[in-house]
Amino acid sequence: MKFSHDAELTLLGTRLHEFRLLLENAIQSGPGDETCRALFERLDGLEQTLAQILRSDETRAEFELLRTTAMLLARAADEQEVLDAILDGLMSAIPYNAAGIFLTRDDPETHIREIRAQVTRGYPVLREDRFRQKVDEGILGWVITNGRAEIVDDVRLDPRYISAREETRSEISVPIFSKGEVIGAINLESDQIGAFAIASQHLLENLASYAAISLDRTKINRELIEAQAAERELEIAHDIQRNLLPRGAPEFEGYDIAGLNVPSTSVGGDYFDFLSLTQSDLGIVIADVAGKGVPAGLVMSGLRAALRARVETVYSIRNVMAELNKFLHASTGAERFVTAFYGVLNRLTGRFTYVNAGHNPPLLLHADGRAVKLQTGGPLLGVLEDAAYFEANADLEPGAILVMYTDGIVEAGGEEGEEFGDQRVELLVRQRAGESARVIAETIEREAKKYHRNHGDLDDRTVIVVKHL
Amino acid sequence: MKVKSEQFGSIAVIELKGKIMGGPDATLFRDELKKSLDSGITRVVVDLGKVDWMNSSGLGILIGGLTTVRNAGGEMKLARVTDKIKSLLMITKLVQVFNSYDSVESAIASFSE
Repeated sequence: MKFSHDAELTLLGTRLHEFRLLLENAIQSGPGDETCRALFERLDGLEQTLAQILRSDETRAEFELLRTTAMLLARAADEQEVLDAILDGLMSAIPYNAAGIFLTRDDPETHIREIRAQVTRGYPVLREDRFRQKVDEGILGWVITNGRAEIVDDVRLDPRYISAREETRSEISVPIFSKGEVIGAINLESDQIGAFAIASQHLLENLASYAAISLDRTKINRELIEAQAAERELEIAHDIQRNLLPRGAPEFEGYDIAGLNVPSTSVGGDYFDFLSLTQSDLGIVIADVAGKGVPAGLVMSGLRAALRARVETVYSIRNVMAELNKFLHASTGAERFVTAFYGVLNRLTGRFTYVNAGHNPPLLLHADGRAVKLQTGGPLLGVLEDAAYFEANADLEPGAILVMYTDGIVEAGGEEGEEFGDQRVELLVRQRAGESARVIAETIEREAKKYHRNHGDLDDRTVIVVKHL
Repeated sequence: MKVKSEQFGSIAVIELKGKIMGGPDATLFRDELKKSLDSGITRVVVDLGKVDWMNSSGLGILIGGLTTVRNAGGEMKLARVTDKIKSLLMITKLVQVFNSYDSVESAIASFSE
C-alpha cells in the first residue's frame, strides 16, 4: 500500500538539508563540543521524523484495513473474501511472516473439539484442509481454551509452543468470540523476536470481531437455507402421503364405513386403505410404521405399493402378510418395523377373513353385545425373516360394528399416567353404537386427543369403523 | 430414559430406567450396547424392572438391540418385564422371540444352561 507522505517527506528533506549545512560548517570550522551537540540533536530529530513516517504508515495501514473490512461486511461479501482481506491487509499493518485464521470445529465422528485452519499465509507446505490441532495444544490452543489474547516474544522460551514453522521466533494470538463463546483465533508469527506489541493486539481484536460477524452471517445463512429446504421436503412428502391415503369412505352396499387419520407431524407413519378386490370383497388394511417423518412415510408408501401389488395375484391373505414381511425385512433395518392388520370383508355373507401382524387387535362388537378382539395372525412385519402367519374368520352380522385403530389412540396419555386404553375405546363404541361410522370414528379420535392433554408429541392417530347396517 | 450397565463376569447387565419412547433413547441404549460388544461381551441381560412406561417406538429399541447382539453372535435376554412391556410383546407376538425372566439373577443363570 502506498501512502502519501508529502508532508513528512518534505519535513525530512528540510531537516536533512539543515543537517548537511551544520556538518559542512563543522568540518570547516573544526568540530567543537557545541557543534557536536547540535549535530547529534539534529540526528535525533531526523530519526524521529523517520519513525513518525513509518508509524504513520502502519497506522494508516491499520485504518485502511479496518475500513476495507467494514465495507466488505457491509456489502455482505462472502466469508472467504472477508477473511482473505483481513490476512492480506494485516501484512501492511503488522508485518508478519506467517498468519492464519483458525476456527474450532467438532469432529463429526468423535465429537471432540479441534482446531482447523480456515485461511493461512506463509506456512510451509501446510494444506489448510489437513491442519488439525487439539484444542489444548500450543499457544493457539491456550488462547482458544482460555479466551485471552497472548503475545509471546520468544517462542523458544515458552513451554506451550508447538512449532508449525522453524523460523518463527515470536507469536501473537487473539481469540475470536461469537455470542460470548470462543470460536477460533487470529494468529500471527514473525521470524523476529518481540515483533508484536500491545497495539498489534488491539488491532487484531477489532479484526477478530469483524471476522466473527462474517462467520456468524455465513452460519445463519446456511441454517436458513437448510431449514427452508427441510420444510419444502416435508411439504412434498406430506402431499405425496396425503395422496396415498383414501380420500373418502368406500361405497360398500349394506355397510357404513369410515376411516380417518391425523398425523402427528407433517408426515406420519400410520397407513390405512380400502381395496376393492371384487364386486363383493373389500380389503381393509390398517398399519403403523415405527417412527415418524419422511423415513416412516417412505416405508409406508413402499408397504402400500407392495400390498396392492400382491393382492392382485396372491389370494391367500396369510401369504400376502408373509410376503409383506419378507419384503419389509429385506428392505429396512430391524428398528424399522410395521404393525399391520389386514382383512377381507365379503359383502354378501358378512364374513371377514383377517390376519393380525402384531397390531392392536381390532374390536368387533356384535349386535348382541359380545365384544371380541381379533388377534389371530403372526408377529409384526419386518423383524423376523421367516415368520409364519395364520388367518381367522369373524362374522359381521347386521348390527355388528368393527373398529380398528393404531396405538396413537390407545397409548394417548400413557406418558404421564394411565393410558387411554382399549377399554375406553370399547365404552365409546357401545355408547355411540347408533351413530354413523364417521361420527364414531371422530369421537374416538377426539376423546383420545383430549385425554392426552398436550403432553409432548402425540403419535399418529388412525381409526376405521365398519358398521353392518 | 436412563441407562446404566454393569458387568458380571462375561455378561453385561444393562438397566433401563424411566420412560422408553424412542428418539434419543434409542441412541443411549445403542451406545451402551456397543460399549459392551466392543469389549467382547456378547451376552446381555436388559433389566426392565425400573421402566415406568414404554410405547411401540420404545419396543423398536429392544428389537434393534436384539438384532445387533444376535448379529454379533451373542444373545440378549430380558429381565423383570413390566406389565405394559409384556402386553406390547404379546400384541406384537414377539413374546416367543424374546427370552424373558422374572429376575436378573435367573436371566444371568440361564446363560449357563
